Amino acid sequence: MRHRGIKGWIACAVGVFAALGAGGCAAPRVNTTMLTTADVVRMTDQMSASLNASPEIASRTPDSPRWVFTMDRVANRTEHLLDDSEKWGIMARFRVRLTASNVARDRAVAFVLPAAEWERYAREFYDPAQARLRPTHALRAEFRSDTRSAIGSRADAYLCAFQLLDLETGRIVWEDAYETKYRVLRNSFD
Amino acid sequence: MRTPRRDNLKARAAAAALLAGCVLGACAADRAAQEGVGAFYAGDFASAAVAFRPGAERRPFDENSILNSARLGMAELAAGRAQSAVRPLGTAYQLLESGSVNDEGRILAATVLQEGVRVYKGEPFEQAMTYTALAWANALRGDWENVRVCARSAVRRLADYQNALGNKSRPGAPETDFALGYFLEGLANAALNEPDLSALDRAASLNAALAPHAERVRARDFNAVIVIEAGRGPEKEAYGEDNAQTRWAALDSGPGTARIEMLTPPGSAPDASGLAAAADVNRMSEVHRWNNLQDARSFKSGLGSVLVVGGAGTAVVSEDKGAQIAGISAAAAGLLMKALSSADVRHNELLPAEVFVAVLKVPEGGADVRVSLGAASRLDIPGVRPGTPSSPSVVYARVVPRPRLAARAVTSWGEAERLRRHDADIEAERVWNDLSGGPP
Repeated sequence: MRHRGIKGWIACAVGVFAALGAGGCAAPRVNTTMLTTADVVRMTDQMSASLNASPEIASRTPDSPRWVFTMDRVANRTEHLLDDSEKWGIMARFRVRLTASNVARDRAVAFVLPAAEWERYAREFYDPAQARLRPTHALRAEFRSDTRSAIGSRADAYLCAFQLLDLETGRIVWEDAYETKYRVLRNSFD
Repeated sequence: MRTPRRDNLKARAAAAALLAGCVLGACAADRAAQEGVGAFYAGDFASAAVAFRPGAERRPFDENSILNSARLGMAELAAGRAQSAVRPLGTAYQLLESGSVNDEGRILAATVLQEGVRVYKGEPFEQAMTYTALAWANALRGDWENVRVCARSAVRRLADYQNALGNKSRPGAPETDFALGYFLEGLANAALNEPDLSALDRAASLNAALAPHAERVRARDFNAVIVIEAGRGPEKEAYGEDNAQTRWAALDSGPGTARIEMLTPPGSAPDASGLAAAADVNRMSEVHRWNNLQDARSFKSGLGSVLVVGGAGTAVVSEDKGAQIAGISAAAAGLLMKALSSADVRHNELLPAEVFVAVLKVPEGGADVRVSLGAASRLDIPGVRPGTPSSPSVVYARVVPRPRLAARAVTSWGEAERLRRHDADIEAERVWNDLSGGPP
């Protein structure tokens, strides 16, 4: 009887050890305070709607003098990585959302690539003085974050600011921002 | 015809095969990693990358994903493939920045069973050096925004751990002593035309050797950055009863001194700023540590000893059969506990012993640059081209110590055949001259 009890304890211990060793550990996964794809979708949707609704754009007609927008990649002043393809990708989606809203046709707006990008694609006939549409405005974005970090957590409050700049006067024609905040908790084993 | 007994046998066989597969798989991965380390320190960085790739690209992630990704990225960087280095180092960055990569089951298993099931993140200084490697890779690609992110991440990580240990810096003083991190941040800010260059002051205040370079960056009187990572970083080893304690052992003290000079135009004097010893990784391993499981291991080891002694004594002294069995069981449990109390000594073997940095003003026509490491070795970098303060040329070289020969108690610095560069910055031919035995 006593032996059976000892065996039981041993079996129980082995079971606990096996369960801990085999089944108790989940695969680690990425869980950061970085901006996500969902943020990119939300921010570009919001910003394109905001720009379209701005008085400067909404008051324009197809017969207004043409505005030519050039776009640069996002300037990253946050505390997280953002690679070039992401920086361009955000602006590309912004432009696509604007194009989809017919802003080009209804508000007499044209988009051009930044000069360096254009040169890359059209090296043979690149002539900045003549051939290229002269930009009148620049659409730009700058991301910043307020980052708080400690051993047990990290929090990033993002301000993703977008601007439409009049290149002749330097006046900011339109400005809006997307804000979001992320926080992750770390345990002492992290 | 299926029978329950045969099913039972099949299930046991399958379980055994699975267990054997896991054990063999782990052994194979470990062997591949060791082959990679061997290739790396033989100067064959490309083969090292091949060896590390399967472990780094395994999905879903496992407890060694960060380690293997960092190893792969560093091998790719040393092999001159900055673009290929960014991806694995970026994966390591994301996992290092992730919260709760160790779930409750893993924490319990690491505490009660074996520490090796814990997801490796490395000691704080290893994390900082992983961020730094990603910074170099981004600098080689001209992505100074991400260089700044990596530099600040390295500093922040070290500061977080320091603060958690109660070693908070004085108000106004730098958050940590990682001068290289501050220097990189300042360099990136200068390249990005940012007005705030205060990180350069912090770097100079922490490491006087960086001061002339910081001044040159501040004055925007530079157009090239030379980075030399030399030697083999420290090794984590277990010691003490049941190997429950850990310490870092310096395998290589690095070249110690370094000099840089431009060979062209002929008659150029050695660069007055020299080549600054920006980071001593052996020293970092002594200072920036995080030993949160050491107490648990010591407890397990002690309890195991008590169980072994008590159980064995009971088994010997008692005449009661039940007590004898209980004593033997306790002794066996104690032995198991002692065996499981050994420390996890996983570490990144590819870290350098020392990091040297110089910012230079290369003449318009380019220059051949000579780097002298220690007393007897030198590295010639032909055709370094000038960049601009906003887009400086970057040269990165990983120099490994030649394998020591038993017959010669000499540390010679050898064969950096994969000396690499910014794709647009340097012409193809790269030469390593070892004055202790190589060509003149």
